Amino acid sequence: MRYLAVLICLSTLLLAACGGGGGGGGIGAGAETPTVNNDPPPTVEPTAQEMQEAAALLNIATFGPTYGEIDSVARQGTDAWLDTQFAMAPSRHLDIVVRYLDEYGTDTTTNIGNFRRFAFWENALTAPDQLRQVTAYALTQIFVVSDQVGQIFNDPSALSSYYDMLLDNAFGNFRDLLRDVTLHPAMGFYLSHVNNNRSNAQRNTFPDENYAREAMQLFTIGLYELNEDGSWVLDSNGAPIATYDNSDIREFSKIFTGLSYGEGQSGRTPFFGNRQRVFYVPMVMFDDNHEPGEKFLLNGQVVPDGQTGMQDIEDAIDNLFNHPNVGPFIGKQLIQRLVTSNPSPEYVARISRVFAGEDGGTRGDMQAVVRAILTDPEASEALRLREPFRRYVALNRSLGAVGDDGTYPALGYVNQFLTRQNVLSSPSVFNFYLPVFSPAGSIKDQGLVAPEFQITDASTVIGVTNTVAYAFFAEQSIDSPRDWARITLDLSEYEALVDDADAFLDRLDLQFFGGALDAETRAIVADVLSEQSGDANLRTKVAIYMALVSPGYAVTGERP
Amino acid sequence: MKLRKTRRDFLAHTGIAMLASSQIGVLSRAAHADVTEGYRAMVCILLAGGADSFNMLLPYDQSRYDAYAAVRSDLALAREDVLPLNYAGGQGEAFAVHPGLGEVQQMFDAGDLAFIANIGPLAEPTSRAAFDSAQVRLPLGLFSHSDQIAVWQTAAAGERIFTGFGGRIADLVESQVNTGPVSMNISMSGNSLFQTGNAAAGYVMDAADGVRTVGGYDDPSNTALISAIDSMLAVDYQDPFRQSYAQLMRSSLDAGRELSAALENTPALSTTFSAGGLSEALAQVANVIGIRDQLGVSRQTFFITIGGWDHHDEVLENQANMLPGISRGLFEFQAAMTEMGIADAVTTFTISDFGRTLTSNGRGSDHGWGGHNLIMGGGLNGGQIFGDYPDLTPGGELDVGRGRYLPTTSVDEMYAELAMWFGIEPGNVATVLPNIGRFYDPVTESPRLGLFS
Repeated sequence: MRYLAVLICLSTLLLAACGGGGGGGGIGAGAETPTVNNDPPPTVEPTAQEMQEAAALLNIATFGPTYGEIDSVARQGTDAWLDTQFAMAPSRHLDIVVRYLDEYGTDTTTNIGNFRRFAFWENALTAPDQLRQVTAYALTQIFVVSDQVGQIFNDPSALSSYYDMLLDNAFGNFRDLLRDVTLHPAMGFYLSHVNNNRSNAQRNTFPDENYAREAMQLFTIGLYELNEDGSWVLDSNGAPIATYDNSDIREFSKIFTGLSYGEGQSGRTPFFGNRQRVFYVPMVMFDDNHEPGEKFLLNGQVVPDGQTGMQDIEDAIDNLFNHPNVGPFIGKQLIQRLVTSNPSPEYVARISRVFAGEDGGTRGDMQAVVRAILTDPEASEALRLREPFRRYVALNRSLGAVGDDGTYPALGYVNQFLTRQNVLSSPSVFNFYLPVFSPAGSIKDQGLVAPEFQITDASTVIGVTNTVAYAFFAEQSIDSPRDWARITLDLSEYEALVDDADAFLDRLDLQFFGGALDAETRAIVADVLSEQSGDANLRTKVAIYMALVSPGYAVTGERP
Repeated sequence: MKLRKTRRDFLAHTGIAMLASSQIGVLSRAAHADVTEGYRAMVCILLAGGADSFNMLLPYDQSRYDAYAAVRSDLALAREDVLPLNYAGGQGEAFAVHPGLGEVQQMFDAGDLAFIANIGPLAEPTSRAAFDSAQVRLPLGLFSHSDQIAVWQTAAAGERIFTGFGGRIADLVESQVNTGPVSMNISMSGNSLFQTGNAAAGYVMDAADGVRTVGGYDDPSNTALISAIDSMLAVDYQDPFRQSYAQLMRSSLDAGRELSAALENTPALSTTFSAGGLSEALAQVANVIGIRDQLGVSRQTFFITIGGWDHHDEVLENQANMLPGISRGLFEFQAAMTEMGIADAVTTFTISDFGRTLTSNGRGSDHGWGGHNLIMGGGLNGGQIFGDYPDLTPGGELDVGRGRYLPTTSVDEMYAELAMWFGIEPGNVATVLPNIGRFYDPVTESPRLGLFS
């Protein structure tokens, strides 16, 4: 039987070009072999249960596990793996961008705006610090900056250095993260607090309120007072209590005045109002352009007159960081990004307490928060729709995708228009989906939320299916003036098993489903594997395609 | 910026050039249609981000222009650059539109288009005194993007509800107006709250690609592929996530198959649409409207999002770049509807998160409240400025700070007139607009704005 036929014809439907780009020839940065631990594995064979637990963990804590990684984690155990991951230095993105700029920066057949996507893919597929890369990715969907703004797209240092800043802070302290987000020029440009000037009575102008508002609404405390478990604090009428009002926004807007671009390697002396964007060093303060006078922060705190602009910012960061909402507000969203859409109130409360530093910890300790989220008893039975973009990354990483010359640029061109998603490319600061989104039907009827369903509609549910066909049957070919090296998947270990359906499916279940492949889908895929004509390569492709487009795979969590 | 993509293979789906005008009958216009009568469509265009609509429609008579220019400071458009409208107000009031809205000016002057001034979400009628003394229920999350985008779609400003105006209409009338497999509510921009009902789930097309199908699935000779996918989608999942995903994919494949087949017969039009942006999305809408009879649908809503209007920075430059695409798209669509003979059966309107501050932050404007909407077609009373355009003198009655304007017309009032035009009985308006009773009684009172005769 032929499942394949017209799948191949799809290839031309799936090309995505970001406006230029291409490039042949090795650039000498050979692929590192993806590994998570270099320790020699102990000799005791892991049990099936240990393998399954390791696979479930790595399905959410990496960009897509290799079989070897699952085996390795099953041998060393979750805690040891987490310790190793937390200790690893970040694999940076800007360094890769610079490498591409050195090599191709003047090549008119490329668009340098794509280079930061090349960097993402190279690190997503090869960096050993997978948990840090994944945590930073989760943070990109809370502290949102997007290349849907032309000036940000066009300068690949902007989002690569932004990603590096998130990597640096992913296992640090939330207060430092918030400060570095605030001072990053990509954020300054995106939420327009770079070159935000003090008020001018003569011209009837006022400080820009944009960053002040979103820093509160999205990055720290949210709209309503929260209990430790993430539920609203209610007033005597049963109504939620606003955390701030518009006068608070106007006070905070005064705080975020006076910042402009730093010097970087430009050699130009920084000045306020500078339009020459320097995206890879923190913004610097110009006190003459900072709003003078005292400012009223939340919870009755007052910033005195006469401070420097940076003192004002530090005080405001402290004021927000110490608000009791931050733990439940950020903690719940991190759970949603990493593990499950609907954590129980108890799960949220446990994370809030870790964030608060109860039991002897430090307030804002992100490493402790991430560890607690991943090792919570609820983490293993939690439901979440897989993000379309991470589905595509996982397919490529788990199947050892690599360019013929050992590089990955071609993957940077892939698939945004089919799925409405790509890294750091959301349509607004409200991310691709809201944390409270709930689609009509059984999810809403049960009182659950499912953020990722917001970009999952009649069109994209087909689009995400076709990206899988693109990977297997269209050879991930791209349409660009420069043809970057073709990406191929390494299917050899599955090809060797095509005549042993049980072994083939066990491996597939473990690697992609974390052991949660349902029996009916398994049977359908088994039929496909046995009935598809052709060689082992084709049979493998069609069978894995069928598994990865199934509703069973679309959702992580408990066995259906 | 929008990332470019290859589109040569999508031309088959757009097929505007193949529209045949012979298929189109002229509809009689009924002021009080019920939903079983004739055809009606609403096209809702969300300008996401909060368009600075006080620079889209502005006073033109000298004294009111001077007040505008004074408060807008460095954001003011020069009087010699703006496009005056053929409009005579009571006290010599004159209006103009942004220089990028040439076609809008032309359609306004021709009576095909109107504005609704200083409209915005209100939870109940709200006076300045009540606002100041906090004695009134206000829209949730006032001045916040996500909340105001939501309440413009839910038309329930004071409550957190998860159905929209179009979705509730579909809950009420879909069984009467649609015999086909494709929802009466179609979005070109992904899931929308506007089209979400309690029962109704809208269909989503892609603005560029139109209908998508799984590769190989629409070729009946691929029996093995089709059977495998059908089997996977028929698995009886117990968890609501996999259940919802399977149902969505199933209904998408079924609706897509019908819609693709019908679109093969899209009648040809001589009207052409520009590439990209609003034009591209409206071309898809025109295609679908062209096959309404094959689809068996007599009432439709369409939803389009055009993003990028949050101009805290560079508002003048950005609007100059973006507004011509809106103006052109609207003009092309109206021309297509006229060519199809159904211009009076299709009403197109814009909504946006909020208006913006009249005062500047030195480069752009910040989040406001009331703003101005465009409304076009549907046989409306065009060439008018509905509602009340506010006095722009700083510190005036409606200025709640920095030139944020307290709306004088609620979203509910505008939607009520659209609902009745659509054929919703006055007695059912409260079913689709739960708060309308706080503003007026559509059964016993005349419509507030008078958009339609």
